[in-house]
Amino acid sequence: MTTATKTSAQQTQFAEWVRVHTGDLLRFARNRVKDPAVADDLVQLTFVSAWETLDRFAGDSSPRTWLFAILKHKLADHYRKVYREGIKVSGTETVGDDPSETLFVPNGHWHSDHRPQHEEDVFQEDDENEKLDRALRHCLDALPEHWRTVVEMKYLLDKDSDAIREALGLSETNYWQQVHRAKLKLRACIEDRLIRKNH
Amino acid sequence: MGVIDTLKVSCSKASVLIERRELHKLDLFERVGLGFHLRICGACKAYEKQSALIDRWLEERRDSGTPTDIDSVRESIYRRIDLPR
Repeated sequence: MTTATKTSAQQTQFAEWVRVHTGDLLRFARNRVKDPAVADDLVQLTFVSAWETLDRFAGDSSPRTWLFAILKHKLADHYRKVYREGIKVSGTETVGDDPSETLFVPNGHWHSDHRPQHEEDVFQEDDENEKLDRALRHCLDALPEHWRTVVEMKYLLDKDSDAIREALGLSETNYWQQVHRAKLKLRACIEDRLIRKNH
Repeated sequence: MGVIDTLKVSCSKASVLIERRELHKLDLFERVGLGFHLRICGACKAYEKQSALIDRWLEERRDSGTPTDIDSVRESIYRRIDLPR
């Protein structure tokens, strides 16, 4: 591609970065998008962009930090695209089905099957709890794509709700409705996996 | 509608307020209503706690799994950029 303009020392150096950092970048991406092929492509694009803008890498940060920053941009772009395409297909802002209809009974009480359990050990915090990480990952993958996008964007953009709403073209009401619905679904799914089925 | 009715919050409404609270300040009625509801409803109290925990997990997410096919992705990158192996 643009190899000709780089010195062979740069090439060797960059090849080393690819060798060292591809695994961690892949893990990061694959934990954040459902389709592994998409995650792989985002990581490849990350290195292509890094290579093309290598002159701008000043070396004040570590290559790892720099590569992760590029990957986060690629992920945000990806979510934005997915989200906007979803809107184009459906013609409206995709709020999606309201999980409240199954989680609550008509008078607004929790449905008996979905009432949050308040025994101490249900969502216990445990640093070694790999079960919990797995449940979270599984339940993020199980979310409808536009809700997942809203949840992921929230943490990619450091919870800056104005920036998220702007990137996704969401009204304020629509934004917190989606956050709420995604959270209801996520919580119910995690609880289901952690206690009811005991995976 | 009396004051008591204004302050009455269902579980469904409480879950909305718990999430919205994080994004912007609730009005006085919502705050008092939610506070009262949480004092008498164990399920919503549990929801509040679990919701905050999920936020924390997401924020401090530990990425799990060992990616398979790292080598083939690496190989594609080397090819795409035309780097020495």
